[in-house]
Amino acid sequence: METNLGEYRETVHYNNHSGVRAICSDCHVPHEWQYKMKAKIMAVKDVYHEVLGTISTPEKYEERRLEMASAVWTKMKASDSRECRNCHAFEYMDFTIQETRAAQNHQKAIDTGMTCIDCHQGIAHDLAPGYLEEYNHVVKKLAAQPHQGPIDVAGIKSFLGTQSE
Amino acid sequence: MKLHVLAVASALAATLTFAGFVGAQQSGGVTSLRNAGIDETNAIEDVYRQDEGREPRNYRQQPPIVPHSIEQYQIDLRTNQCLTCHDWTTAGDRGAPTLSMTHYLDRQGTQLDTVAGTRWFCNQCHVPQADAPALVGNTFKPSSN
Ligand code: HEC
Ligand code: HEC
Repeated sequence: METNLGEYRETVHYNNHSGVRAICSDCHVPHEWQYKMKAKIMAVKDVYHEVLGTISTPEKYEERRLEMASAVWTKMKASDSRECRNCHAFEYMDFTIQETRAAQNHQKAIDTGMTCIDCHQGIAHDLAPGYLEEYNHVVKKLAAQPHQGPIDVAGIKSFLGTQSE
Repeated sequence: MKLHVLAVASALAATLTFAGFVGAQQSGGVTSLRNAGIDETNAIEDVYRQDEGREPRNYRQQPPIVPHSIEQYQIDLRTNQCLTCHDWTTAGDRGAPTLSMTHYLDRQGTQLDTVAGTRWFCNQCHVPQADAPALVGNTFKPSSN
């Protein structure tokens, strides 16, 4: 747990211009009771491997980096980046003060029902070789599960009565 | 422990020597590197912002300067995050300019499918553009004028 902590300390979620900090639990522990309890139970596995020393050396850590990242991406993709959205929301973004590149892609994300983690892998930890292929693999795997398709944008729009606009 | 004491002692010695040095300089009417008295607040250097919009190249083979921030993009032995948007396999989807095809040639001129090792560290050649004065003056004129 030292390696990932160190990496996180080099990123904007640790130090930034606005002085707001997101700590480990902000991204990794859900707020809602039922999800939080599930996360806490699953965390036993992390404690177990910490005691066992599964990732106790830099070499061991690198060997498992992609696999660990992949597990977290799967959770984030499946939950539509729920923990990111505790702080970030498209509704609160002023696209006019974002970099053009960011504004355009955020608009695209809204239009096509993409989620934060679709683009923002590696924002708090280093990325392993082949990370993009692995992420695509995660997306395919989830899409193959019947109940977890992409967000139904048309459905949401008609629900809100904004279809005609 | 011993090392620790040694480090503190040498740091102290260095500080004292330096303080004496500065004192001597100022009494001789020489300005210090600090350019201000010890009791004055030193202005920090300006922070220059990223410029958006693509700059024209000054000569044909110039590596284009980067029209966006490159802060926090990982480029190391394991991963090059620039490729996420600029590699030929992804550039279309991401709406970014594709890497120049020269970046897929190895030393022997063989066409590769993945970016050449010689081009891995993008920021060796491409720097972000900022609204800052030139660090080093020069009299270069583009060949097109
Ligand atoms: C999120 C996607 C993304 C990432 C990651 C990214 N870029 Fe870009 N890059 C773009 C887009 C989009 C443009 C075009 C911007 C414009 O036209 O204003 C661009 C433009 C450029 C250009 C100008 C090309 C030209 O022909 O003028 C260079 C050079 C460049 N990027 C280098 C880099 C480097 C180096 C990195 C990694 C440190 C990087 N980019 C990471 C999306 C990205
Ligand atoms: C050895 C220096 C060097 C390195 C390293 C390098 N480039 Fe370039 N790049 C150039 C030069 C020179 C050009 C312009 C001439 C050309 O097209 O080859 C260029 C052109 C480009 C262009 C513009 C292509 C176009 O068609 O307009 C992009 C985008 C780009 N580089 C991105 C990158 C990225 C991303 C990396 C890292 C993976 C990278 N470059 C690494 C020198 C370099």
